[in-house]
Amino acid sequence: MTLTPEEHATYEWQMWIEDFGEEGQTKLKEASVLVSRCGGLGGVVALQLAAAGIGKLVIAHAGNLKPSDLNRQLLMTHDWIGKPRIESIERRLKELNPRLQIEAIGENVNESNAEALVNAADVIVDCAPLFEERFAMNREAVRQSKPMVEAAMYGMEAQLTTIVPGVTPCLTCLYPDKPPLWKREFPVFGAVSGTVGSLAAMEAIKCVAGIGEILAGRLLTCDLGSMTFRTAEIERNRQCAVCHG
Amino acid sequence: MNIHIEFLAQLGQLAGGKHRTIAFDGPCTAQDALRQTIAEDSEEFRALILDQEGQLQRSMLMFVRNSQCDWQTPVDLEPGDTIVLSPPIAGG
Repeated sequence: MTLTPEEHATYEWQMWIEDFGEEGQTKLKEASVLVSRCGGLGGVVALQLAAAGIGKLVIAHAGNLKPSDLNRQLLMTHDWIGKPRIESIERRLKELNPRLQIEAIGENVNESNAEALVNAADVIVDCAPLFEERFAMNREAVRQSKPMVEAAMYGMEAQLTTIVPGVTPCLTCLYPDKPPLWKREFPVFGAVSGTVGSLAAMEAIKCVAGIGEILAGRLLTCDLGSMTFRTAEIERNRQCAVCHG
Repeated sequence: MNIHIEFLAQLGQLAGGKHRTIAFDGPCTAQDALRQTIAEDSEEFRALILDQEGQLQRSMLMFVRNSQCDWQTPVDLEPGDTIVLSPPIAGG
């Protein structure tokens, strides 16, 4: 696969990045990424990947747009309240990058669709709010041996790691049980979801292009309240029911 | 020596603040320091961190000097160390 003159013109600035170049851009063009879901966090992941010239996005996101989505879901518009979010996502991404292939699925990841969704992508970015969805994606990512970027947020804090099956801890190594403390709705600023979304997109780009150093076996924690960013080493769990440590 | 405790995400709210500092007269492990730090907290809060056997809850991450701690392996603390407790969070 080669880059068209239009793609050369569009991605010129990022192709100047050392070790990336035309080869890296071609890898992005040939790659597919699953983003689930595509709200405050995943919407920015999808936007950044679309801007960067990823070839295909597989997007899973159910439900209609609510007013309370609009503080952070940057792929939505006010006039779309009450309508399916997945349609707004597809439209906005195409406005940015008409070359982008999008497989838009108007449902969230669950036990019955996780295998097919993960199978449709080279890299997975987990932005889902419910641990049932996250665990289903984790199981499939491990089973299909695909890297999965794990992004999360709360208040002014965010976390990020990249799971490389067989090499790093998987999500179930870190969290063997469904967390009792976690609630579907939680405090957050759109600027926090946007920040961790951009960081997660960068992890996906590095995974695809084979550049830089991904957060393999490291957990990035960010506190945007104090602007403290740090990484900590995380360990595999030999008793893990999914990857067996 | 002074040891700092940092509660991330929801724990910070439930703890009444993200940061605590506790003084110890002699050597101390991270496990002992954590037990002592939350000893005066409500039973409900303590149960979020330690289970009925006094073990770290399975989905709670604990870090010292930017490394994840195994609860079964005592971690000797040095003056000024910070114990970070991180509960699971997700996207949205």
